[in-house]
Amino acid sequence: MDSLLAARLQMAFSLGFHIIFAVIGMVMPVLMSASYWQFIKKKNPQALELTKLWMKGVAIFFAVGAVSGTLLSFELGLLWPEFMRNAGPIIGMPFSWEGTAFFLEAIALGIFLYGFGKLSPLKHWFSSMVVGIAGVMSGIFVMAANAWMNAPQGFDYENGVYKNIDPFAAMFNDALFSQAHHMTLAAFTSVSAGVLGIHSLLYLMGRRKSLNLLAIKITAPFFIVSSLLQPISGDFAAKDIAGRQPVKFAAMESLFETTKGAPLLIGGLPDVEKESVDYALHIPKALSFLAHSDFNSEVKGLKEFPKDEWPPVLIVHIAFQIMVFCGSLLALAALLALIIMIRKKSLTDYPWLLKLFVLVSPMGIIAIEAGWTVTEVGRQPWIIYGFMKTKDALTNAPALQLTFFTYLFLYLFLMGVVTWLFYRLILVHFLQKDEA
Amino acid sequence: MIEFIVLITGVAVFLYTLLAGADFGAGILQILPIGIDRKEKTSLIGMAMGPVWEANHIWLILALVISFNAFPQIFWFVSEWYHFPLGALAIGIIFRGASFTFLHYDPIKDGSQKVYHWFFGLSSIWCTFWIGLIVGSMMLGDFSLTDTGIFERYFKHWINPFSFSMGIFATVLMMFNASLFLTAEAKTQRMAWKKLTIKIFALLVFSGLLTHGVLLINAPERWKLFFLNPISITLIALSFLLLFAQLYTIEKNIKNLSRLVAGIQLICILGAGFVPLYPNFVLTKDGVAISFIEASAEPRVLELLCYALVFGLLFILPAYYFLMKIFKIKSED
Repeated sequence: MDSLLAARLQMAFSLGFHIIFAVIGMVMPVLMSASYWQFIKKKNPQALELTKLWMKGVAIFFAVGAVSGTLLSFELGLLWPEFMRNAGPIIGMPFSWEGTAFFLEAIALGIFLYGFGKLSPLKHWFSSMVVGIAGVMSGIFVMAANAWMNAPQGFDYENGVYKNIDPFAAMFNDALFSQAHHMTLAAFTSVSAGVLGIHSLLYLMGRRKSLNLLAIKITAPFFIVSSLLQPISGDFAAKDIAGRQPVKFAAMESLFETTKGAPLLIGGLPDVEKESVDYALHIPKALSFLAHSDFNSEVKGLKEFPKDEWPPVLIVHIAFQIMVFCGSLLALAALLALIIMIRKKSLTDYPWLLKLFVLVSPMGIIAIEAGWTVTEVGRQPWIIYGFMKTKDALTNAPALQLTFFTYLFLYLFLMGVVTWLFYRLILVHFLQKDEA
Repeated sequence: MIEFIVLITGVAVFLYTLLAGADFGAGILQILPIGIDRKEKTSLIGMAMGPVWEANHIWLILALVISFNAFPQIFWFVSEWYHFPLGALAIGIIFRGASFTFLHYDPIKDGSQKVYHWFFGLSSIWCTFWIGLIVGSMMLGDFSLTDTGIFERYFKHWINPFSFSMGIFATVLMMFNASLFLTAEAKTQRMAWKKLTIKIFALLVFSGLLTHGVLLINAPERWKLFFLNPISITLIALSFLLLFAQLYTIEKNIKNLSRLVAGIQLICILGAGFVPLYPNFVLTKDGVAISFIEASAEPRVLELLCYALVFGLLFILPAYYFLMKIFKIKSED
């Protein structure tokens, strides 16, 4: 393993780990806030119990997310010093705003976690709202910085130097809107799917049925809305990428030749040597429609670009397929739930639906990991698309392989402990089966 | 404009060292046999740190963000030359944060608490040591900015007695701060906490003198830079005198004054290291400097950062005050 691969893998694991905690930190406070509002409005003691249960989860995930986020800000400099030296002032603004939002989030979370009995219920509830809003804003600001790497603008590039920096133009770059809404919806979909799945499972197991019913009632609307909006958002993002990063788009669908009326591939294994895809299902002309809203439009193939500027096609293609598959299943589950709710029936009257919720519960997180793989691996070999190659941003420090394995061990260990802790949290609250 | 940004960065570093530093120190005290019941220690530390723990640590993120935004050359230099110490610190930060979380939010209190407890304490020592070592090494400036050899660029400048002694000094300083804060918070066993603070006070004086001696022997020219600078030596003398004021406030149980004195004392210590170098961030042994002015970003970037900082602080400071008011001031009523 060379240094570049070690550094990229370390970054991938760090981001892959952090993103799980980041999305939970973004969305759980919103659910917690909704639950607490139920308690304030209806004086339902179970809503308070649910709020406190979710609050404990939020505290764990938020704290681990905060430290893994701190680690990431170190890693950006330690692994990619040349990137930070050049891009730091350009993307610094969204990061400084993110810092403000994250600070507010942390303060508000402190107030909420320890504020029971010290504040009026309304003020206390307001602090939970601030946690949720600041969390979402924080995510959008980070997205602005990442979007800039895909659509770099707001500077003049002369002889390897980034001059005349306009941080506003850099922050409000062409990729921001599509990435921000796609990721925000993904956060809501994945977290609400996870929460819905856990409470559905506990309901099916007969543990604290009324508490789990309440949790399902609160979470389901978030899940339905975000999961059904996500395919629309995905379509918008696909069109954006097709126009702005055509080589990434070609890799996502393993399209080697420029084609008019290009087919959409479902599944399949690309063979880069042979420039073909095996075992794929072809939907005629659908890729052209996905890219340009026109069944006969031309979609650029990979061969339009120098081969040394192709991203790893196999990884990007498979990750894209996984993301679409998971997103589609989630949307299907959401649609079924919506139909049942429109018919004014309770979701818990349909055990098969609860089983479906359990089945799809990890798919949001899987889709997020796959989606980030598409975004990041699909941009390779560039770290700043079209301007700086990833290899040119790398540190000269030795033993990056050792560092990678240390971090890998660290993240796996932490993931194990967090999972164990989470299991204990559920165990304590749902130990007893309901009496018949 | 640059002065304003340097000031805000300095304030963030100061608050991180003071508040998060006290957290680090508390972590160390938690595993040391200091004559106070372990459960009582853990509970007091949890109560004192819990509400403000996350917020305290975001001062570090703020300082990092400002540095790569406004002073990208400095961020690049620190990231490269301190690749390994920062990497070690980062691992300590994640272990520490995670173990604190597990220690206080694990719903089942069993044998695992002991494991979290030790991880939290050991990672606290680990972090404070590396912070001190990095600061010490930068003060020493035993590097050349044109170094390209692996050992010269990544190791040589921090593997020396002064950097290590600064690591120890920082560890003791943070223990002292923690002891002060916890003595003020303690509702029971106050006498034990007071005695502990006095013991750490003695240790702090000893480690300070040791650091001073090591610098004098190892790098006499650098010693002159820090100890013959009139502002710097005044600040060092003041920080030493304030130690006695600190003991007085503890004896008389004047909590807010005690915290204020701790803050001023830390400003003196940080200032003594910073003033002789300013407007440079570091000064190498061969006289080459990285100055804040030369390392700064374009004026437009700095201008927008200033607005963002002012705007951000307008939100953060009232919210932070509110948090402190609820938990620190109310709890003393």
